Amino acid sequence: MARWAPPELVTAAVAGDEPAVERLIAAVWPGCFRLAASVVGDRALAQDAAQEACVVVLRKIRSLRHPEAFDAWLYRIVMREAIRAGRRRDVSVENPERCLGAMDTASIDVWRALAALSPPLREATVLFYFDDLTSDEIASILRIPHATVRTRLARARERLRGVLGDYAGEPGSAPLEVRHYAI
Amino acid sequence: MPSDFSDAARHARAAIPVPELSMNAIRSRAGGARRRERTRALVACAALVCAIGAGAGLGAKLYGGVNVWLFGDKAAIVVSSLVTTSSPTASQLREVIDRATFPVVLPAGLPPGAQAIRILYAPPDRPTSITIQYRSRRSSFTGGFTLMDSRAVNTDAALLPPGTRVGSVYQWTVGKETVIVALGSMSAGEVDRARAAMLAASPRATLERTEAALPRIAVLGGFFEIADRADRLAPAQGESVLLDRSYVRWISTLAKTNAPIYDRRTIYLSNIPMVRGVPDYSKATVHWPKTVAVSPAGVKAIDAMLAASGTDRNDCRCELLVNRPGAKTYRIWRIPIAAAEPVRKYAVDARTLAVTAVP
Repeated sequence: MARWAPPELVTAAVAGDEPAVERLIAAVWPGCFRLAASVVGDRALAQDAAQEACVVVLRKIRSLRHPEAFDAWLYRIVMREAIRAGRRRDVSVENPERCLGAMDTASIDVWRALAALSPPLREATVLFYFDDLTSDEIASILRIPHATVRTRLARARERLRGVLGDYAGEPGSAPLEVRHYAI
Repeated sequence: MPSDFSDAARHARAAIPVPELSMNAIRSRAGGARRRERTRALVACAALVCAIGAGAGLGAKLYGGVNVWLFGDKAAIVVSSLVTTSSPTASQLREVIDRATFPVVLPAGLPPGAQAIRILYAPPDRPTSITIQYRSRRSSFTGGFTLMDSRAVNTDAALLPPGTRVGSVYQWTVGKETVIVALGSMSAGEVDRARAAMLAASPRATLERTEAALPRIAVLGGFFEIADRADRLAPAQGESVLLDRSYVRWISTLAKTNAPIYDRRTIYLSNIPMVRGVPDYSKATVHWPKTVAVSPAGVKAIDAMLAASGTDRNDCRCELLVNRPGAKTYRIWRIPIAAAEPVRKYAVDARTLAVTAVP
């Protein structure tokens, strides 16, 4: 699982060191924002979700019993807030640059492909492909059965294959930068 | 392995420009979240307070306060207004009990360490319904008891406002009081022990026992452990107030504007609307009586003490116990959050604001 912040900073924050909590929030902010942005596909909603997640960190970090559980805990919070934010607006990333900012062509393809997935498939995909989490970890973060994660990932792969293929203009003849995705 | 897509995905994510972090926005949202949480806590225990379901709408016009219908082990409740006091002191509890329309037998036989953490009652002047929520610091016990004047309990289903939810409860009578506990909110064993103890006790005995477990000081936030420590330190003479770290930050602003610290533990809710069959406390009319916990002069005394002791107001890692034994002096205890650190006591002259460390 990705390391959000140095363990000593997490330990100090959990122990109630208030400046450490603020430093911890500053450290996790980019990750929180980018994870939320990957799920909701919109900067404004992602900023809202990331801020809400940081509010939870600010208020509840002291209640975390084990500092080593921080990474999973924060994943769960950011995902929950992002999913909530996503429900407020059905984001369709037809123009990812407008929603997420300027980017290169390969990134545009990724976001467009992701936007074609339903929210449950997108959430599992983000955690699996973007964050390299195992399906067990994803199941724990999303609080769904392990088998459901695998099903969602399988469906997402199927869907992504089709979507990425479509970007070539002719089915089955996707450009190289798309076709080489081994999913 | 989906490594190619993973690489592209990670690259795409890393390319997203991150907006600047605004700690002010996060702090401001945290304040809002605390207020929402307080409302939710209120809902959780008022609802009722026994989770027997409720409805107000029509009831709000027909009835005042809290009305309960009992049909065997089923109950329905309609709430239109109530008063709630969190972290009640012994004297606040006694005031409510003294005004009740019935001799109140308070919950007894509770697990060790159980302490009343919130009281909800209605109507404010002559309560016919008192709900007390408990929490134990020594065990995982939490529970709520609704104590009703038996004369105010309805049994006529025809008078029940349409749509009111009916839930399962434990209920028994003790003298002129009907006790209601939501099924599932406590274990059957805990309910049996409470019932037996209440049936064997007098109103006075249960009041004395409950009061003994309550703090004498007004606790305006902070840690339970510090509240216990402060309660032991507080002298019998004069009123005492415990202020948590958030107040320490405000003190200089309050002192500059000659403002007092208000005690906001008691909240009056009225016009509680019914939304989809449930009372929506967040849309109720909320009134905080302006009860002064620390006067502007007391705030200035605290400000002087913080300055004299060189306390870091943004990171004091302490709570303050403030006591005024007489017109001339304030006594302030600086209680560190870390139990190993010593408590420091100061005396502040109310007129000159001269600070003296007291051994």
